[in-house]
Amino acid sequence: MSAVQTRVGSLTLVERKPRTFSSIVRQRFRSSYHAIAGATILGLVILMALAAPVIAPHDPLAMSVPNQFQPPSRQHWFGTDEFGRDILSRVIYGARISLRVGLLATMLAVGAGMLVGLVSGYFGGWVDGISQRIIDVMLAFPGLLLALAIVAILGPGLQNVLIALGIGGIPYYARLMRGQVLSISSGEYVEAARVVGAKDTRIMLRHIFPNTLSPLIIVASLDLGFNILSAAALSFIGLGAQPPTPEWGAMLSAGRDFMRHQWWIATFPGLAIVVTVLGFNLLGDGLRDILDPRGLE
Amino acid sequence: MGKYVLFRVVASVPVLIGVVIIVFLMVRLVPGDPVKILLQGSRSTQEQQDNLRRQLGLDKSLPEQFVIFAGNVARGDLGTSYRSKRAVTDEIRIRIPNTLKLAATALVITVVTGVVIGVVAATRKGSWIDLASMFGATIAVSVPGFWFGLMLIMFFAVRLGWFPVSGSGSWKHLVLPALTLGLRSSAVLARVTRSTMLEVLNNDYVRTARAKGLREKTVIYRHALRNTLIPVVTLAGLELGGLLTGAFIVETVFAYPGLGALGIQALSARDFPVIQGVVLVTALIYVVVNLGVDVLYGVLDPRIRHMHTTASVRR
Repeated sequence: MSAVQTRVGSLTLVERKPRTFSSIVRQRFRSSYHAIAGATILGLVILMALAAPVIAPHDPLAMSVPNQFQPPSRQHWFGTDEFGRDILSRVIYGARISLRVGLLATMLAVGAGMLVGLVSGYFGGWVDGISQRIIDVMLAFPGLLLALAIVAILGPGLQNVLIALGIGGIPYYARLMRGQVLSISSGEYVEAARVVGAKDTRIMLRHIFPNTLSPLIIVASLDLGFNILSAAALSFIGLGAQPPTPEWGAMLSAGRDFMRHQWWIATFPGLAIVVTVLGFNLLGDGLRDILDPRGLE
Repeated sequence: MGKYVLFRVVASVPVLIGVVIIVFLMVRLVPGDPVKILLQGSRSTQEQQDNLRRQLGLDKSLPEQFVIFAGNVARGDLGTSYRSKRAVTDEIRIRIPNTLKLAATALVITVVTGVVIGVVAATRKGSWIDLASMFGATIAVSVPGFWFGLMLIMFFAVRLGWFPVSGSGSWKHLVLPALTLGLRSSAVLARVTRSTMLEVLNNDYVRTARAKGLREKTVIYRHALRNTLIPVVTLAGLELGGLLTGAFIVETVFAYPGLGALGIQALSARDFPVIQGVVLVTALIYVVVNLGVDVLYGVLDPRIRHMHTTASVRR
C-alpha cells in the first residue's frame, strides 16, 4: 500500500504518497493490454534475434541441393527454399537484419529531426524560416518517395536503404519537435530559467527537451514498425538487401516465383514481418494511452 | 473564399520550386561521373565521354544547368530515357491514367470501408464488432502491402481463378491491386473515423439533438457524421500520397503498367531521366492534391479559411 494510515480518535486519516510520473506510467502500463501484448511480442523477437546462433537449427546460408523445396516437416519446420536452405533459420537470422535497419533508420530520423526542430522552434526568426521551407519541400515527397529518390542517388543496398529511410523521416520529427518546442517555450518555467540567466543551450537541453519526449517516443515506436516494413518493401523490389542475405523482404521476393507450388517460401517471411510490425504498432498504441498527458501530473 | 484559395496557391509555389531543385540535384549528387555510369559496359573513348557530356549539358556550370533544366521542365520536356530512347514525357503520359485509375479505385475503397467501419465501431463502442474491427485495423496496418498482394494473387487468382494474376485492361485487373493498395489506408481511416466520431458524439449539440427526440439515425448521420468528416477529408488527402507511393510497390507486384512500376524499373536500371521524371510528376500530383484538400477543408470548415486570410493580412 502506498498510503499511510493514522488513527486520530475515531477518525482514520489516510495520507497518500505523492504519485510520481514513473509510478503513473508503470500503473498505466500494467493496465494497457496493447502495451503488454506489443512488449511481449517484441521481447520475443528481440530474444530471437540475439539468440539466433543458438536457436537456429541450421546455417541460414548453407545450401543443400538434394533438400530443395522441402515442405514444412519435423526437420524443417518452415520448409526449405530453392537452394535447400532452412527457412526457419533464415527467418530467425532475418530478425537481426530487420530490427537493426528499423532501429538505426529511426534513430537517424529522430536524432536529426529533433535537432532541427529544437533549434528551429527555439530560435525562430530566419533559422526557423529557412529550415521550415526546406521541410515543406521534403514533405512534398510523400511516403516512400523521398527514400526512393535517395536510394536512386546512393544506389541499391541495405546500408543505403537505412540512410534513405532515416533521411526520409527527418521532416516529420522536425515538425513534431518544433511544435512541441513552441508550445513549451511559452511556459513560465522557461521564462523563469531565462530570467535567472540560464544559457540557451542549458534551457534547450534541461528545460525544454525532456518535456518534448512523450510524443516523440510514441511516434518513434510506430515509425520503427513502418521502417521495418519499408526496408522489407525496398528489399522486395530489389533495392535493399541482396541475395543471399536472409532479409525477410528479399526472401519473399525470391519466394514469389515458386508461389504456385511452394507456398511456404513466401508465407513465413511475410508472417515474420507482420508479427514484428504488429508488435511495434501495439506498443505504440499502448504508449499513446500511457503517456497521454491528460491525467498525468 | 477567393482570397483563401489564392493564398493557398501562392503558398505552394515555393514548394514547387523546391521540388524542381531537389529533382535537378538528384543526378548531380550521384557519386561518380554520370557520364561514365551511363557508358558503363561499352568501352568508351575520351571523345565519346566528352560528346555525351556536352549532349547532356553537363559541361556547363551548375546554375546554368539548372536554368536549362527548369526551362525544359516548364515546357514539359523531361529528357530522353537512357533505356528506351523515348521521351520521358511520353513514357509518363501513357502510364499516368493507369496509376490515377488505380489510386482512385483504392481511394474509393479506402474511404467507403474506412468510414463505414469507423462509424459502426464508434456507435457500438465496446461491443464485439468494435473490438474485432479495431483489432483487424491494427493487423491491417502491420501487413506489408507486397505480401498481402501476393497472398491475394495466390488465393483469388491462382486457386480460384476469379481475377487475372497481373496486367491491366479491364476492371477485373484493378480489383486485387486496388484492394492491396487500399488496405493500409482503410485501416488508418477506420481508426481515425472511430475516434473522431466518439469525440463528436460527446458534444453538446449531439446531446441537444437527442434531447429533442430525434431518431438515433438522424443524430448520427445528420449531426455527428458531418463534423466527423472534416478531419477524415484531410486524412484521406494525406493518404492519397501514401497511395501514390504505395503504387510503386503494388504495381510492381501485379506487373501493372503504371507510373510506380515505371519508376521502379528505372531505379533498377539507373535510368536517371525517367527516375527524375517519375519523382517530379508524383511530387507534383501530391502537391496539387494537397492544395485541393486544403481548399476543400476551407469549404467544409469556415473557421479555417478565416484564420488563414486574417493571418496573411497580419503578415
